[in-house]
Amino acid sequence: MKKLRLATAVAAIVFSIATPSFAQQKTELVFWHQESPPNRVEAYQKLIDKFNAANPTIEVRQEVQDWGTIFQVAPAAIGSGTGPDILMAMPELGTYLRATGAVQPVSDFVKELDGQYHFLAAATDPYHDGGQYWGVPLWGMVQLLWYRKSAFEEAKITKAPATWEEVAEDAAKLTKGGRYGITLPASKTTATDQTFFSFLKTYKGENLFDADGKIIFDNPNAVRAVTTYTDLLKYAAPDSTNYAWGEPEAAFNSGAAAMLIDKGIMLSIFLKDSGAPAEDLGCAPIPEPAEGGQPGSHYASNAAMILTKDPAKQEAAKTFIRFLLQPDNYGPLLNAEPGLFLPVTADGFKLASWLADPALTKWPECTALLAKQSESGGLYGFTGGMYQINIGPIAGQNIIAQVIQKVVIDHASPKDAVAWGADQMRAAIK
Amino acid sequence: MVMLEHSGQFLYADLVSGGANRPIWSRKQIEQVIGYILVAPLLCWMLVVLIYPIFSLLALSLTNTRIIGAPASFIAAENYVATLQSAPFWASVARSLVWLLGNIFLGTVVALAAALLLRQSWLLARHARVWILLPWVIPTVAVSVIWQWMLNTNYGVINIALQHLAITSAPLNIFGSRQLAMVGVIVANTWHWFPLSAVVMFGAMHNIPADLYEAAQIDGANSWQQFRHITLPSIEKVLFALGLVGGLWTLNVFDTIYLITRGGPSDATQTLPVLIYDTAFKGQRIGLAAAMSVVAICLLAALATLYARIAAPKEE
Repeated sequence: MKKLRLATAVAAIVFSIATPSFAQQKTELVFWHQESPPNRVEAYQKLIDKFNAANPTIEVRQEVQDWGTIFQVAPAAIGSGTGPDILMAMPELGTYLRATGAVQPVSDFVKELDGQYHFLAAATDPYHDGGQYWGVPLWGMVQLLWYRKSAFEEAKITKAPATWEEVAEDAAKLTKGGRYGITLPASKTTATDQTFFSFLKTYKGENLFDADGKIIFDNPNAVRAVTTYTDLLKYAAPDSTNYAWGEPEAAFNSGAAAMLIDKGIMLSIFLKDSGAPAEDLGCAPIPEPAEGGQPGSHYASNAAMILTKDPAKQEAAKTFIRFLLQPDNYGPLLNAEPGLFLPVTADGFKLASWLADPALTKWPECTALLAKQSESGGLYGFTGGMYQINIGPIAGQNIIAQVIQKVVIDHASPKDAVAWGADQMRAAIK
Repeated sequence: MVMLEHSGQFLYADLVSGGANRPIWSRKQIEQVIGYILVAPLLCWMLVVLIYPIFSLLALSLTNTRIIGAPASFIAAENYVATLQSAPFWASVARSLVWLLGNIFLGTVVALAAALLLRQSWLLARHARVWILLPWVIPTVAVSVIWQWMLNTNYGVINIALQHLAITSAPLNIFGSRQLAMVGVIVANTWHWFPLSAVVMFGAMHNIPADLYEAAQIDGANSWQQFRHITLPSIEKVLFALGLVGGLWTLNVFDTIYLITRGGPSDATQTLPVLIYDTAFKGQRIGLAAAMSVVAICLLAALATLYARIAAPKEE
């Protein structure tokens, strides 16, 4: 009896010691992203729970960060050894974080996934430098011209504008009775940078750098784009200089503005915020200049960057990213914000699990247009196959947006404002 | 307990007398040593939280650090030369002075007026002594949102009131105008901080002997003369201290400005703290921003010294 008790006690001690060691074998992954709206966090959590249940040896934990502070928080966390294992980044943030030496190359992994799902070049190019891929794109974002059909009917405008000249003409007709023809951001924010970049792209002024990395922003195409943008601001609310993302969307949804240039998020928020029927929302490709233009829009892909140097964690991170791109999971990931997050793979655009979302089924033509516009999209610093590591300080200081403010607030001519902007860019990368 | 007390008395006496009625340390010396021992933890703490960061800042300002954690090299005084030659830096110094003077002037006037009202014996004034602190306890984020709304061009209550009163014919684009944006953030900041100054001034006024006013009334002094010759001189020292501390606080305000205008429009409200932040984290020049911070500290010290020389109340 004594022996049995002794054996039981020894077994209990061994088991109690052994149990934690089994638990410690779990690979823990800290996953940072900056998608803080509750619906997005919830969608992520559902996928993470599903992944953790299916992979008992890996434990993924999401930590939500803020886009406004990520440029300060991430390097500080990496420097102090408390950074994440995986971080969702835009290309500008990617260039910034690479300077810390923490970002791991993932070329073989991207090639493996490309073989399976066929990435869009516009999504992978901004993460390709020095013969290596530095991130795995998971979704893209592109802009369209959105308009209120009821306002167009009231102003007897029968079709969506296809050129910037038509936009100006329509905006003039639509501006009346407390309603503005168009709403555009003109604050010193990323919202203005990105919206204006759609203009720059269509005016063929998208290359801020030449092949040698020299600033070539001061060119006639950029001047034409600035002229058009600031001319259109005459048909926008006078406080557009304070507008970032939320204000133009609110103005459009409330009916205070008839046209808007924005991402596919309109499909998520229009019904909820406007109270108008789905038929009132129209969409069109980003207009082009009547002469000498090209199709284009701001397009940015978000990629998962692996920051851990631990080989076991790197493998676990790849398992998690593979899981997110699987057809059953990719649709729910994209529909964390339907319309805003677009597939970055050719196969993704055909995914039933993505297309089934009610926000997308209501506007199938807009969903198709978002996919088409993605093909001609681009991002400052990463156009023409370039990868400009110096884009960080230019984007960070919103120099593109400041050019618009120079004209609107300081009443500089577009030519002088563009020249000033080019000087600022040169100083920023010096 | 008795033993302990007895023992303590014995030790103390022993130290003073040297055990044989020969004094080793005087009572004053022992008190000094105890004083140093008591202050030592605070000094160590200050060393950690104040001196180390300042030396760290100085070291950073001598490097070309662009991003935290990225490799950087020693570049001697290049950042200081760049700072002193930088037009945006001196423009932001000028804006900081406008910001400082605006806040000091408006803050003092509003706080003084509020303190005078709080002094009254009306029921409302007595209740207001508590409620006046409300703006001060509201978080800065909330204050910023409140003022963004109140001064909004389209639906801001102040713009609507100005139009109804026929003071303006069209809504003012306050945060979109180079000239008005600074006024807007000064008003918001003053509203946030004036209660603290008002309560301090009220406390100082409370200590003025009532018989001074009675004597002045007997001599035929009117309210303005009483304020000018009794109230103001009596709270002069408090006003000086508020000016010094409040001025230094005001110059370092970052949150209110950044939350409302982010330094815009077109850099119209980019004061020194905002410029330093933008340079460090948006322009990715942490070394340069560190040099700007060191120069800013020197400027603040010079300004504080100048203020102390000019405005310090004269001892009678």
